[in-house]
Amino acid sequence: MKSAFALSVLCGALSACDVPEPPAPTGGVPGLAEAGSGKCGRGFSVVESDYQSVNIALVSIEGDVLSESLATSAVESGGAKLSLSGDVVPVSALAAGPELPVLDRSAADPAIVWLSLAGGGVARRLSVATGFQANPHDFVQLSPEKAYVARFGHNHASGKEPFDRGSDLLIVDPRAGKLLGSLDLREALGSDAEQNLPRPEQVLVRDGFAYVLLGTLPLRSFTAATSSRLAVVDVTTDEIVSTLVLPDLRGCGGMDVSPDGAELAVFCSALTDSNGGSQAAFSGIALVSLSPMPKLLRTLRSELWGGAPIGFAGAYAASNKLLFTTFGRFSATGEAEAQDSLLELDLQRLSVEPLLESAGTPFTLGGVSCSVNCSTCVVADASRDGGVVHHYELGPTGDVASHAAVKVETRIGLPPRSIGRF
Amino acid sequence: MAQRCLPPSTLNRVARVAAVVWLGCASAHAQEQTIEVRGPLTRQGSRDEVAASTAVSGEKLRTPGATSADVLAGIPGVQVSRTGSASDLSTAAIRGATSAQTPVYLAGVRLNDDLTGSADLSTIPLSLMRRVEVYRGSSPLDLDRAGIGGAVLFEPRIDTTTRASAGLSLGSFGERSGFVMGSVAGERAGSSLLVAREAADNDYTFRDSSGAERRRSNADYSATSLWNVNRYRFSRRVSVLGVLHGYRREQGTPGLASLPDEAARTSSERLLAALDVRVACGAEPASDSCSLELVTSALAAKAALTDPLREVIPAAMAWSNGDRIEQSARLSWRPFEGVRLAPSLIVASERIRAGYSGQSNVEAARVLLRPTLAAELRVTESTSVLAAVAFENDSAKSSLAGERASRFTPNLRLGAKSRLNEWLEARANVGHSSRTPTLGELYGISAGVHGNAALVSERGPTADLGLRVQHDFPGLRLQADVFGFARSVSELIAYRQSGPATISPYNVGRARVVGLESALALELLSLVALNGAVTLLDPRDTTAGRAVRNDILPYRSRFVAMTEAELFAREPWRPIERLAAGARWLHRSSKYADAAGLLVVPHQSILDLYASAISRDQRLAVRVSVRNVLGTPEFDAIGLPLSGRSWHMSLEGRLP
Repeated sequence: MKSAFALSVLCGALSACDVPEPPAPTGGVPGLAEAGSGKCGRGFSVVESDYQSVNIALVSIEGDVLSESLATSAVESGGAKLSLSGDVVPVSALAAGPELPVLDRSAADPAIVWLSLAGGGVARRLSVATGFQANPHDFVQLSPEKAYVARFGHNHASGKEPFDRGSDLLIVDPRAGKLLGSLDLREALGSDAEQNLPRPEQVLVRDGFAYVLLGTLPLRSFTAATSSRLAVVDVTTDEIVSTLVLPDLRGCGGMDVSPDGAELAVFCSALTDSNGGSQAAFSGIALVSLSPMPKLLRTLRSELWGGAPIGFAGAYAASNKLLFTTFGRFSATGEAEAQDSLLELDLQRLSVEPLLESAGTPFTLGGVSCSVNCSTCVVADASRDGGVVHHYELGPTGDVASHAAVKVETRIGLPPRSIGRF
Repeated sequence: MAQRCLPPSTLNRVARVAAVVWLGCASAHAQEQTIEVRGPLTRQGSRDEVAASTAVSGEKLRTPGATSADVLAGIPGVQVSRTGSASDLSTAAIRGATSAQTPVYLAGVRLNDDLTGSADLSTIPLSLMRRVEVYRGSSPLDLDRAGIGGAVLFEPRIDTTTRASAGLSLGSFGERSGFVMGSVAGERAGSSLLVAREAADNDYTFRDSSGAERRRSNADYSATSLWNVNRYRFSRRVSVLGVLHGYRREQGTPGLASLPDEAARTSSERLLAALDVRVACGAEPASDSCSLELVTSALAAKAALTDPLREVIPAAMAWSNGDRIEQSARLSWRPFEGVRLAPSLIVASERIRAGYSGQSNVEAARVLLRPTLAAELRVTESTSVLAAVAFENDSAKSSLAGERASRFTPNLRLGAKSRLNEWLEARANVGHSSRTPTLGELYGISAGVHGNAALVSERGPTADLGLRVQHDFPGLRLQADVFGFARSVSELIAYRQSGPATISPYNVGRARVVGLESALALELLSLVALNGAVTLLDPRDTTAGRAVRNDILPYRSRFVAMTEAELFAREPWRPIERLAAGARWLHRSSKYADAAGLLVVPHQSILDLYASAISRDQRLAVRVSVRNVLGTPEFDAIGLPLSGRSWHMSLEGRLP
């Protein structure tokens, strides 16, 4: 008895200097799981990250914080892995149902992770590694038993396990947690496949077709040397049925569908180096009609907004308005030479209105997401006031009617980086 | 004190070797001391009598299977971080500093590279070391950097008598190693050569992210070391010491627990050469009234990662080469009784080249000029004061970014030591030290990690106060010290996103650390030896405008305790000189692995057992150990588990 007591005292004394337990997630929102998406969706998910760890919060369409902390990074399996790494991003599609899928792009354990909207925390995960750094860039659910995962990573030593080539569309059964197949996207590159990899960035499903945005990057580098393209995949046969080359647009990294579903806006940075340098002649926005095969309507070049390279995020704010970010720039000695900008582009008048600049530190304006039907857009800002989400209410023509900076989380303090919808 | 307590017969049964190969050591060259096994229970650094310091030597470095990181982990104030087996990256940091703020010296030559600023302890095979010294808070004045955390110094194992010795060891996970050492010594000259080879499979098992047991693959390594030390005394006034060291290692790169690498391999090479010329310039050659020491050293280090499957990097190969040539001159002069002046000058030229195959490379160089003026004043018979000021003038340039204006950084030091009575001593130090940005920080490491030539040195004040007790009671020997310290540092270098896919460093952070360190050593009835070390740390991020709520600095345990108990017998029977068996327990409290405080590395307690038998005159020594007896899961970095339970044994012999 005495020895047990002594042992307890010893253990207690040793534990006293342990670091405090991290704040527990505030959990989910009962009722959210059952709530239908309606015409607006249920809200926005906000991924806060310093690239070491993450916190995921939920914000309503109106800009109210629903959950400060739906899930956070935590050490699991005796230190072998994290529940969520520091490199988590939302999927591009609106998430329906009781779970919120996010992409964990960690090199160690790339996976689709489903978070419980009602209870909070990780509900389940599906590894998409297949033996290499798969780097999933998007996930889109086609049915309860079928989904596509756009895997940006390429495996230089494939053939050791099924579906391990990479730079593909991985076909998965999200319900059963199984990998079903892989769609090789190199076919969409044609003769460019000899020197390039497809590098899929985003997938958007519309009327039985999946539109896969292919960054199209060289085999051994990340500086685009040829045009990006859109591959159209028949989701019933899992075959590429058409490809649209986006002429003279390179390094395309994001896209959004117009409110009427007839058009795509594709955002192309044309980055030449990892420091934000861009091939101005190849940077811009492609407007593509879907009928259903894609057809290029017009290309808007970066001169229209002063030549700054387009950021990775953009969205339709209205049928004739696009909201997107541009990258700022640091000098070689670390001074900010140009700030990130949030721009609103009027597609009819081809006029650009700046809405926001980063608060002194470039590369801190992050994700942009809009609920067009409810005239709301949110933008992640990692530096202003320690990190906020800007909530914009739009008027009937897509002009900004009101703006509020929302602090979505106060206990951890990680900066907001990207935005998803649910 | 120690010798007074020993029977004369014991004096003849002690170890005799104190190879003074230490460059710049005040007691170098001529003093081939005889080390007393029953000397002080715990030793202090020999290069600075005022700083808080700990030295480890002798049997404590001979435990089979123990690494340099393992030994440092048990020293007050030191925290180590390992990433796998004995051949994988491991680093040390003192008093809550970073590993880049903690210079590590091998034979007096700094090993910290100029890319990341860290020194990899895994390239320092412990079995080939004679002595390890750790200086906490303040660094010896003759070192080329005043580390913010302090300094760690390793001395190689070299004989200075005519002798041949050899050893081999075996252990779990395919561990095998051996060495041969030979030395000849005359009145004026001596030479010693040590060649060692070590290898291991490191194929230990661990639990992966799904909880399944997996065996580590592609983790093997083999390494070869060579040490050659030559000394020659030209006259009573002039002596020369030369050191030549080579190290080559080839190893697998096992990758993360959840995503092992199959084909990535790393090779590392190091070539170190140094020449130490010491001239007695006083009226009497044997006196220490005046001495001039000139040290020339050169270090060349190469590392290459071949990654045919692009498992680690987006290229087939990454490589880095660094070299440094350094010249120092140090005068030690006693103009009056009780006063010593020590002006010195260090000039160093350093260069790095690094890059990925097929991509742009980083090539940069720097010249460092460091004049120092130090003075020691013996105020009374029992009290001495030390004062030093050093100015670091650093100029750097790169092939891409050109030359940046030279930077001038002062470092200050004031210390005092006072023996309050026969058994109690007090020490106090205040100072201001700095860390010059590495060339990697100034000019970048890769396409994704850029540099910033406008960086300034991390810097800040430090202060400590300590008491040291040493007393021999009948049947009980006691030694203890306790130090309290506080330091702050500003202009900390952090990385931020500087492009869509790049990060670059900038000066932003501030931190302050307060703590308490204590060491205790007891010997009871010449039969039981107890050692303990405790470190309490409160490391806080005090950066203005910090967004995250947590302010506890990551990767630092706030409480570290080491306890070691050894039963030993001297001459239990005639052929045996010493027989010992002991246990060592190391506890580290939990720590954060991220700035936000969401990732918690849990507290870990590791128990090791060991035993040794040493024959008369140390002709033969057999040692065995079991590390992590309880098989406790252990890791310092997430996704990189350390080995569980392992056994090790070694056999060493020497003639005569």
